[in-house]
Amino acid sequence: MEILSEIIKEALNLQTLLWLCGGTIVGIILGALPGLTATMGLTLMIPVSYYLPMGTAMGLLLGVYLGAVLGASIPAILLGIPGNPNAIATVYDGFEMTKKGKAGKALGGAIIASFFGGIISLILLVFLAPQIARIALMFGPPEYFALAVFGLTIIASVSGKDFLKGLIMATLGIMLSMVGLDNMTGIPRFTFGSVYLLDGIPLIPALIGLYAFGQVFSDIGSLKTFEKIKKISSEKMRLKDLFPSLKELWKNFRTIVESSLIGTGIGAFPGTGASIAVFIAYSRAKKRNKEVGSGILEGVMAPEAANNGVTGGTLIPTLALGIPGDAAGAVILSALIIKGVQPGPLLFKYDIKTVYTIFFMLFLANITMVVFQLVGIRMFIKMLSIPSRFLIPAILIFSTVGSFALRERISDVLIALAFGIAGYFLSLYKFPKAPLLLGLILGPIAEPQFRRSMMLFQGDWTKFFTRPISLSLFILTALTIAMTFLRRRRQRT
Amino acid sequence: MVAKNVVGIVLIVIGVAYTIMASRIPSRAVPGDPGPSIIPMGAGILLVILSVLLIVRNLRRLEERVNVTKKTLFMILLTILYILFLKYSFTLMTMLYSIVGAFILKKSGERISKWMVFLFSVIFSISIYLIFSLLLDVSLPDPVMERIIER
Repeated sequence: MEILSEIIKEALNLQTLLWLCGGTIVGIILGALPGLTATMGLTLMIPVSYYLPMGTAMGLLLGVYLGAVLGASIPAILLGIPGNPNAIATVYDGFEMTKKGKAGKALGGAIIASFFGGIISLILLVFLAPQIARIALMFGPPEYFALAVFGLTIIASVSGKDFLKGLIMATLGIMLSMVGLDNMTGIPRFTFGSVYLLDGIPLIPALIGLYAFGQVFSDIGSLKTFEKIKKISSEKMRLKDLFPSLKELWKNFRTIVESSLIGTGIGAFPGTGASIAVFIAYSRAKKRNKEVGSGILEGVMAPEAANNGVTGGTLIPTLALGIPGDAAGAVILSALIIKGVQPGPLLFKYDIKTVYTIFFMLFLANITMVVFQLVGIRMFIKMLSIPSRFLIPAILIFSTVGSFALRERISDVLIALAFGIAGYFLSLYKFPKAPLLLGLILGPIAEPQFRRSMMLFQGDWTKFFTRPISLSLFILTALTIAMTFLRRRRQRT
Repeated sequence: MVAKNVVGIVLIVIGVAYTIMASRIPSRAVPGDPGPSIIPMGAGILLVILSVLLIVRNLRRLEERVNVTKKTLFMILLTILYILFLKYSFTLMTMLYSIVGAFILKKSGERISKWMVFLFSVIFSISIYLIFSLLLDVSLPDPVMERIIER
């Protein structure tokens, strides 16, 4: 309790609140602009967050993250174009409601469902993460290695439509993560004699490359969707039209709670993310109520509660195990690491204050997200008509500055650009980016754990399968691979 | 045939080269430690296997054709130039970049106000420079602006 009041006192200062609010607004705008993702928003803010105190930095990042998740619902409802993958299932009923002239209520319903989703997932995060961390304290190197392999397999199997391509990307990520000094023997690997590469491939420029440069390069090809937005009718929306009535809220209460739980559960599973959660929540709602799909509030609230449920869910493995739940979790993990905070069970044991600070910031971000989306909705709709000829160079410039800012090296910017160009061509050939990022992050976790295990086992690798937790994780990994191949085969025939 | 499998072939070449390089990493004797080359070699070999699978699959299934738009290529080229010349003056290069970028990105036949583009790029580049150098203490490479501010 004492620690909580201390955190609240520290967090409630003007600087933190300003960065949090600013982050939320930027997040909503980025989320609302089709093509720009929550991960991109988070990535672009890391360099800024690096210069802020821990709590303030987390406020900024979580503000951007939650804002972008909610903001995506604006174009989904008004235009039938999701701002980012978080809102792909909001389109159906949301856009139908707009056609019926109920855009305001759909937007308001999305806000309220998102708030519930966020808060329910936060509560679960607060209660579950410490328990999972406690169990994880019992993990030794073999369990950690097995967990990392499992996480990588899951993300390769769910991101994108192609498991083989996902696996290739995860392998490439691991290969890239091996560049630099081997941290157990100090032997340089794949450095080509360059001093610059001794530290390995810098994670943040790589992230900015993949998710900012690469994403924008891909967006240039789809300029038409950007221009379409200009045609929005600037419907007059008063604040009071946005709120669904208490009766409507009560009617949809079960859907909201259920979808929030689905979101949190899916988000907490390493490697999975919002794009899956929203569809599961939506089809659950549709199964129960046949009218879903024809443009009713329930069909908007289900996916919106689910995608904000993912926000707290994804932080459960990210914080408790140090293994991110999805790409957004991976970016938050990297942001913490460069601030000198190593998420994982030991964080819960020795630095519980940092953990609580993150929880509290997530709570505040849930509130600012609702407040700004409600108050600023008219402005955000106008933002959608920013011409892409200003927007695209602006984001590219911001990405350049961002990759430069951390270590003030032009070479970092060049790395970011290289990853951006590679990321662009990879997505052109439908190779998913998330497994590459996870490989980059998990490679340096998995490798030393593997080698430590082998030392522990005195070179006998069969012992990996004699320990119950690592054995079950390997079985789960094998099942994931088998199931994914079987499912894809069935889909094809 | 070759064009269709270019990605797979490139990946195999990368995988083989990587594996060979990994096998040459010197090992240091730590009892029980499989050494710094084992995981990279494993990953390299795995990549080769997966890429072969990709090619085998492509023989049966046709991959979609991809097309790169001219605008994207120009923007990528412009960004490369921008970053290479950045060290001479951040603000100046950013201005030029956003002006040229705006003209590359405009739709064909669209008329845009040159003054708007110019105004936007000047305000944007100077404010980014000021925000990062004054608020966050990042020294962006800009001898020109430094001289102006020092005065």
